[in-house]
Amino acid sequence: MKSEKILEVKDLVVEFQTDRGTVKAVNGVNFDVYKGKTIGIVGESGSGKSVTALAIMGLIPNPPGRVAGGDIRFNGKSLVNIDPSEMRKIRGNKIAMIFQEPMTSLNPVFTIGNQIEEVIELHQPHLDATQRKEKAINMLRLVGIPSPEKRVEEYPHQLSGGMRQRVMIAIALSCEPDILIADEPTTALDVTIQAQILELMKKLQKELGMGIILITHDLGVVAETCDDVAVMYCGQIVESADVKTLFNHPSHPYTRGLMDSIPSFDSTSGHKKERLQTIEGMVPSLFNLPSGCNFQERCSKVTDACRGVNGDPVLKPATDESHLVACFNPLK
Amino acid sequence: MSEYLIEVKDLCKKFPIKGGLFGREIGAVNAVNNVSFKIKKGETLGLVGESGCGKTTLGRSILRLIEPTSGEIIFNGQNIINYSAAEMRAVRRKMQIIFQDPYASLNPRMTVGDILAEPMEIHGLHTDKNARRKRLLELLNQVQLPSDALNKYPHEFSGGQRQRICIARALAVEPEFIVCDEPVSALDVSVQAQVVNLLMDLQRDLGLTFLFIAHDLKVVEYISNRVAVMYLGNMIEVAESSELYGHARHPYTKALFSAIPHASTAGRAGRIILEGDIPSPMNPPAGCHFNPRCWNATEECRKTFPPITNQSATHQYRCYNPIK
Amino acid sequence: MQANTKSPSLFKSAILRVLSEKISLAALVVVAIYFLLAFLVSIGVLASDWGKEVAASYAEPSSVVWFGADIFGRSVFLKVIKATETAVMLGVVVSMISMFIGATLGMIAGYFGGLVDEIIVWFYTTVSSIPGIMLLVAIAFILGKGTTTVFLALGLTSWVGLCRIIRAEVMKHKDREYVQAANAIGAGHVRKLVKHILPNVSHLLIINFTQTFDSAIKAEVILSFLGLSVVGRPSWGGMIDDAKLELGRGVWWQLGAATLAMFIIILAFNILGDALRDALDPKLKGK
Repeated sequence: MKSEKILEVKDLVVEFQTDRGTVKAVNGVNFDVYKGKTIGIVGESGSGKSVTALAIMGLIPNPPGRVAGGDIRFNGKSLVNIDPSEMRKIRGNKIAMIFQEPMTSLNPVFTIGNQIEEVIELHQPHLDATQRKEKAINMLRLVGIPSPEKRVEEYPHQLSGGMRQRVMIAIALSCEPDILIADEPTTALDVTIQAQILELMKKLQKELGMGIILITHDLGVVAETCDDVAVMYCGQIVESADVKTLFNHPSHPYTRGLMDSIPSFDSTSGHKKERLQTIEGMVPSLFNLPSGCNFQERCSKVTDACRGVNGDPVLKPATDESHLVACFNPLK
Repeated sequence: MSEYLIEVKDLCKKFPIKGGLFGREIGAVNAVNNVSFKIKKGETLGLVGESGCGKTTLGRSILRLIEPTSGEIIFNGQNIINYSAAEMRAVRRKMQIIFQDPYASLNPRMTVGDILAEPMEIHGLHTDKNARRKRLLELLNQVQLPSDALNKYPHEFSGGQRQRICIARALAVEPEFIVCDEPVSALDVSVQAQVVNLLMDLQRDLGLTFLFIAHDLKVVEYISNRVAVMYLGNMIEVAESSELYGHARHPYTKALFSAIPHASTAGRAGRIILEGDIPSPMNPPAGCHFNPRCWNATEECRKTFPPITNQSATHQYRCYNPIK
Repeated sequence: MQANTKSPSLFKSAILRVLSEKISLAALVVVAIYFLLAFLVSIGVLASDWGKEVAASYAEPSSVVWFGADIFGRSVFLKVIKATETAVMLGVVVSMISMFIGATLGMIAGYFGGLVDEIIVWFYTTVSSIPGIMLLVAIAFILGKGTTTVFLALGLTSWVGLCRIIRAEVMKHKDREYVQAANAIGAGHVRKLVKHILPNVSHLLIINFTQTFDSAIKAEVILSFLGLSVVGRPSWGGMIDDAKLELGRGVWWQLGAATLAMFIIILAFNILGDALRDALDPKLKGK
């Protein structure tokens, strides 16, 4: 049963002007977000995953950045050259975002109740102060904060990291958005708290039916929470599939390399284990990308076809129509 | 001569809480509370725990970068807890540390060559110019950095490369023991694997002993022979790494390992999600500090702090009602 | 890539940055010109005859006397040039004194903390609580009028701001991991302070130099009003002070010339100071 498609990103290109020249942080990215489903965007530093999220929210700082090509369609409407006042109505209201560092994303001089109410005030002006406060308390209850009537008067520094992230989620969901973008929401949290937050997000998605874009570098988190996955490298999607297919049949050598880099618990007895399979070399500088496939210098499966004669690799179906990979020599 | 390179006995570190009108001491945070352990030569002991557990404080206290409040640190048979600054300087050649943040742990105003040469200058090693240059190149080679790195500044390198510089600095004086304080946490996954491999190779080639502190349980379990788990300043379980993963006795250990998301889509039944937050180390619960969040807690757990149970020579834990 | 070329240090790239911006380059050139003038005056090449009578008393500016003449018929233009030497020397010496005291005390206080810190903080809080003018007057009274007095008095009263900044910055850096790392390899206090922390706070010294220079020049004006400034040679403050007798007679050129000369150098140093701050701020360096 196919869900309703609420966001389409088509051939998105985001450029930044720097003193060393123009660089494409995002270079031709395509994906869709469906109601009630979670898509994970996986990548390391410099992959462009956070910039993609900011582009959807219309938060690319301009200057020095700008959306230089492609389209972002929210329920059919283009967000790319939209009027800033129109975008403000959508931001926080229909599309909400939570960030990695709950410590610095909350304003230390306002109570958490105030911060939730601020969003409600902006987008639902018909509610009066009492109604807003009630809604704020309900949101805190929804995200699992105990004694919300008391906590609503507290300041961010009085809360722990996990609590603050829950407050961020409460703020993001207070206007019942259609899409929640979560940029590394649990990276800064302890592992037991991370488990709680991910459980919470799944539960809320079931209850509220929003689409989630989860940006992370942690494949484990992706495996547990996402329905679909897109793997990014140097500003482009190199592989995309539903989560089961990706983990069982990774097709791009980079995806495979990432999975092999993680030590697994299944390595057992005899203490000294084999070395971790690593991906050789480093991510190339975006100012100095090779012609042809961006991954060629680190790829164990590189062939002459990858080095530029055929141009850049394009996403093509691998194991089935919905599993796409951009590779001249994909793994079988 | 003991087979143990380093033995820590009842180590404590208290941070005073000042308050009141004249800034009197009104209480203390027990960041490290009566921790004891031993590490054999050539072994890697992993140390894991979440915020407030004291693992970073413990790592730095062993090197006396933070002064412990009480306890003993026996290194190569000598108790260094009361050594003077001059005596410590000699010991520092043998014990080194690698920090988490490769950006902050290198002086941005010094070249890589100066950074690596400094420990040699301080300890008077390789004073001859040629010998020193040879040693510098040897170090770069050991950590797989190119020789032209000597004249460059830290900001010209990536995170993974900076961490290699930190490792080279730690190796410069030919230490026996290295405390690795979250050495790969700030790096990308693919780079982490490279640095982990490097550390394991160096350990094998140079006979190093590691205390590996991290919060990424998968990496710790992989690189360590034994792993110790800390919670709010106490070491609550220590065992061989495979044993700890499969047969943890302390409920917190079990919950910790269970919380890790797995990069496979095998079913995740029986996942333990702990209730509540990690308590603040300023106000730990009475009795066993874990009891408010523990599903196995009994009356005794709420009253007194559990002593050490020795299940075997390599597996110890502190729990009144461990997992069967 | 040759193994022997050093890549640019943070300082070198900062200088290059400053040189590449037109406005800061212009400011740098202006400052250089003033310093050059001061040097030429001090070796007697320029304005050595500033005391000669060249025109009638209070002669208006003309093609012969560019900036007019003062009450004694001396060329205002030559006086301004001669006073440049005074101003530059003042700025440099005062900055040096205050930098030395402020930086040393700030570093010791920030690094050692505890009782040492408390003593130094008490000391500078006391010094800064005394109104600057009174302190200047008191020192001048004790040491007698004259050029040395002015230098010492200004130097001894302008170090507190720098001391505070350096202390705060050293406190921040003391706990940074690269200092802990130096600890771990066995470095002692002196090495940590001089080799590690000092280079990382030195950008503040440079920026502070430009600010102290400016405030020294302005303070000299106030000293002139109090009659405590340098004797035996013209100074901008002295020329401005004379204006109180002259303006009533419609004589504006001494005031105008001195003010203009001051304005230009202060503006130039301000621009340069800002440019240097941006260029030297390690936080703004890209990763």
